[in-house]
Amino acid sequence: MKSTRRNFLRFTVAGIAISILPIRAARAALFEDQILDLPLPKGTVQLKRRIDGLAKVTGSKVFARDIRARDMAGWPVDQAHAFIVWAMRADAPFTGLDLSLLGEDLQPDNIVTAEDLATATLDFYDPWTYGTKMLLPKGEVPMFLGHPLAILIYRDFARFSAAKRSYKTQRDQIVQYGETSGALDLVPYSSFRFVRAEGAGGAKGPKDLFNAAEDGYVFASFDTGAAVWPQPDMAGDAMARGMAHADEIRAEIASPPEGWHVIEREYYSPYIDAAALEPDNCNCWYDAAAGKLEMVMASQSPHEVMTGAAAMLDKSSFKVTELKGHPAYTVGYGTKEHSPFPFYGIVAALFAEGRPVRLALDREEHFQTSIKRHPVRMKYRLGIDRETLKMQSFVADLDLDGGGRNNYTGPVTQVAAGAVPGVYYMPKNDVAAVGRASRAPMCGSVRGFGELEAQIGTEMLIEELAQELGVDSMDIRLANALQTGERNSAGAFPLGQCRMSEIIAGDRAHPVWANRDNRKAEFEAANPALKYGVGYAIAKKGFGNSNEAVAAAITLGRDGNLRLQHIAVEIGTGAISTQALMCSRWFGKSADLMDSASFDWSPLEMFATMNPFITSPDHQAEMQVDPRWTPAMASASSATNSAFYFTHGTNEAARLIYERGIIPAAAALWGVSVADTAGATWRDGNFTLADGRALTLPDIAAKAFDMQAVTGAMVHAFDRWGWGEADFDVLGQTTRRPIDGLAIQAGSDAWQRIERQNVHYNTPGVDRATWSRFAPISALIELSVNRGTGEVRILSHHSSVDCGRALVPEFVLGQLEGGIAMSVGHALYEGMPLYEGGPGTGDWNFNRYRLPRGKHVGVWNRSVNILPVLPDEDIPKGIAEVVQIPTIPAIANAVAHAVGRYLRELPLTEDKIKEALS
Amino acid sequence: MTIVTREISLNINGKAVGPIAVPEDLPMVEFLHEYVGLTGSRFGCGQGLCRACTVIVDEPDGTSREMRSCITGAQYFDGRAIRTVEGHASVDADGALKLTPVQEAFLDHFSFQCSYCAPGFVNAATVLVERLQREPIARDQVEAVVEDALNDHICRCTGYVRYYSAVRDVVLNTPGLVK
Repeated sequence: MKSTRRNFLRFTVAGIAISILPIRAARAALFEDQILDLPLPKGTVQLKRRIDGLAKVTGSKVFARDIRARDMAGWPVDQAHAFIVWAMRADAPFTGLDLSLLGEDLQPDNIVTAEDLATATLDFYDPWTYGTKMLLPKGEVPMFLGHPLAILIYRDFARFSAAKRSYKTQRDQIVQYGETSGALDLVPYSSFRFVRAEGAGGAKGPKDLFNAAEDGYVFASFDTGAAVWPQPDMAGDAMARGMAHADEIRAEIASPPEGWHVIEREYYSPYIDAAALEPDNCNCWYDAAAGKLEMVMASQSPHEVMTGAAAMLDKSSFKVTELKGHPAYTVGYGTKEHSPFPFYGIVAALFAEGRPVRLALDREEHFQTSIKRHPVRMKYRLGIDRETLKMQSFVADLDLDGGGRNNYTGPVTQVAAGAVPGVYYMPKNDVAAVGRASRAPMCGSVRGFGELEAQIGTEMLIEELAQELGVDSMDIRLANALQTGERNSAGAFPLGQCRMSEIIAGDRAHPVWANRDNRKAEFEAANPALKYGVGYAIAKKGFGNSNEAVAAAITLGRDGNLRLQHIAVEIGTGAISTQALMCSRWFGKSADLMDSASFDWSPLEMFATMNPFITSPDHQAEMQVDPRWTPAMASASSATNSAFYFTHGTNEAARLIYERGIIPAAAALWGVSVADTAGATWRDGNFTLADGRALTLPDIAAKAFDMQAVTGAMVHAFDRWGWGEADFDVLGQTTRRPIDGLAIQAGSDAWQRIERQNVHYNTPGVDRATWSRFAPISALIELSVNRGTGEVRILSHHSSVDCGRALVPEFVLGQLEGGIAMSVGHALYEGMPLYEGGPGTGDWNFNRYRLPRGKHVGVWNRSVNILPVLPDEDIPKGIAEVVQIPTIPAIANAVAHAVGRYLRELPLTEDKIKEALS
Repeated sequence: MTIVTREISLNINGKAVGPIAVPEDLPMVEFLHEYVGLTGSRFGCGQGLCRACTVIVDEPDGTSREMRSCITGAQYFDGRAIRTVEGHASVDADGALKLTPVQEAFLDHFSFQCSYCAPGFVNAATVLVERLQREPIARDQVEAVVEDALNDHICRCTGYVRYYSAVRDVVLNTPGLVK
């Protein structure tokens, strides 16, 4: 992207005007309908029901998959349909398609091939994140199983449906290959090495000998294909010094000092499909005459899709001057973020001769091509002092398979490496992680994002270590749990309080843990066909991705009507209900109108220049002089970023209206000074002064309009383990805010951009601090194992969690309950071969991929201990990912307790358990 | 390959639909989506395993049963009466939307998140409630019966807890369902 301001006015990329509209605003037939059940009850901060609930429970069109051309305002009525032809081999060159096998009646109306894309100069906009060869050219070996080969477009559904069914029964004959040549040799995508050597000051000391946060990561080169780490040299550059410390750490654990006990184990977390029930889909229309392209999308990152589409189209021969996106509600658990899929929908539309094209995958296709969880092989060595049970050193090697497209393999590799020590303080760690490329369907962002996989091994290792030492694993955990003010694996100081000790101590006293041996004896005596086991684990995970950007706008009408616009995409977590609810604190009621995944940036006039994760300090220093520049425009709805980061945007917009609109207007109506309103609060929907005088919001709003006080605020904020902040002159009064962009309305609908001054952002590189904001959670599992069949049944589940302020407790509990179910699948059922025989061959579905049902997850026997909020840390902590982590190793530990043997390769299927029992 | 069509007529959510000519091998879920514009019955797997596509078949004898529309051809429904998730709520004399007790309970319990599976759960729970109206069960059987009735339905977001507890409450609080 260029960084000239002219090119970024009105949120444009490369001269293409972009707008993102909520699906509700775009629908034609149901245009007047209210999808959201608003307004919420006034004068309450408790959410009675989710605001999208009514639409969802009545089957309304809320998913992109529900939308057809006839539902869209201004679109042609007739809907075309398309399907993709995928490679099912990756060991021979693709030579062409024999579509004659479909029969004359079922020939596609349009075909898009790699050759068509080349002619039109179309490919992924960013080869560093998606690779190239969007469609594979003839004569080339597929990069991976499931490599798209062509898009077939049909003008009517009946022929499309028949053709697709016919294709699926004959695809081995339709797709043609040359002589077997073997799979491509692919160079690994990424490497990260977290080296930390504690300094003389210890855990809280002023200086480490070496750490990632201050000295940087160590990277390997792949010139020869394999990972080659830098040469160690204590007097060399940072990476050489890092390697010198790494060598010392490895040498020490290989020949440990007297008094150490070293345990070495290998664990495996499988290749998993998140199995979001809504398969990937989109619906796009290209109006060549108007130069307009519109897309209905199922995406967690619509801003990225739109800016990426603009960049892709800008290089192409197609004339597109206007790009409209319509994000719908969706679900993906991370897999619909940063996905290449929407770009195939755009390409289909470009070649559909003016017809809207719906590209909706079936389940086999979704398995074949959707983003997968990285399989991770973990080799762990942990040294511990036998006497004190204090961990001394952790050496780990992680191997991740990223599949055939590079899609977040780098960040996942990084995150996994940083997470290896789990919730524990580690004086020395050397974690070397490599993200490999292969012919498997691509891996990427999935709930837990590396921290999940790495901590499975850690928590199983702790349990095995305790068994070897003959101690209670809780003693090891308590002796080593990271304390507030101690450095993490990157050598950084986490933000906020560390409450893991509090959690572990409480869980140790839980009857299921404290009496586990007695309970086992009693249960097995009463149930001779079953074995009984108890398992425990604790984990933490960062919320936020270290470069979070949020935008929100609140407008107050003269009649008190409240409208909230937000970048948040509703992905099932309740984000939009929560954001609407957040207005209650400031206005005595929730938002009356909520526009999610929707934001018109133009009043802010902001622009970004490059990926914030690779921005250099020099680039930031140069660019931030321009008050319109920001490190990042808009985050995806992912990374557990809703509760803390998205709420910040809503709160800052609301706060400004409250302080500079509500308060002065109320003071004027009451005839008191602004200072005298200090005790005023919202009670039952009325703004009430300490003496009991009360005002309605419409009264206050009308006065604010008359006074031309602040009645609307649009904010943009950026966080790099600390919010960027700046001074803003708001109606003659300068105020410093934790935001970097601001526009206001003052008694009219017109937005006034406020020029920021004295902006401060944390320096790039601070993001190496490794998930400075985090939430911890534990899992205590009680289960049975059938001696004959190996079947596992969850008998009870207990968790303790520090979620900070629970904005909507039902959503917190819902995330926890859902995370447990996914964990049960991860631990016991889910997993696929990576290559031939795996999902890339297009014949995987729920008949082969087992998912947990209600009977598998212990629905009726759950308990949760939500830690009380600390007075000095009253913030909402994101927990939607961490809730999935500890249950997986807790189940594995419980199975080990039940069968008397550790099984280290997940999933722990019945066959593996039966073998262990034999 | 020539597409052979045949006309079907059926009753959907109390309204007569058809005759409509549809391909002989067209799955019912595609008929609902593409021919009558009802997209609430979700396509999840196409194998009848996730049950997001479940509809209710109303039999002439007054009984009802679940039917998976992704593995059942549209032709099967010729002459039959079905309910989809769109047909449960009614509009009262004042024009207000009136949900069923099952739908109300799902909202009160925050039962679903993304809601892709919600139509299947609404229909399964409704069939259960209607069955219990004919065949009440003992109070101590409720949790097991709810588990059996809903177990085949897959949800990836919620962990099932809030669906199951909502249906348990409906069963326990609806007169005549428990003995």
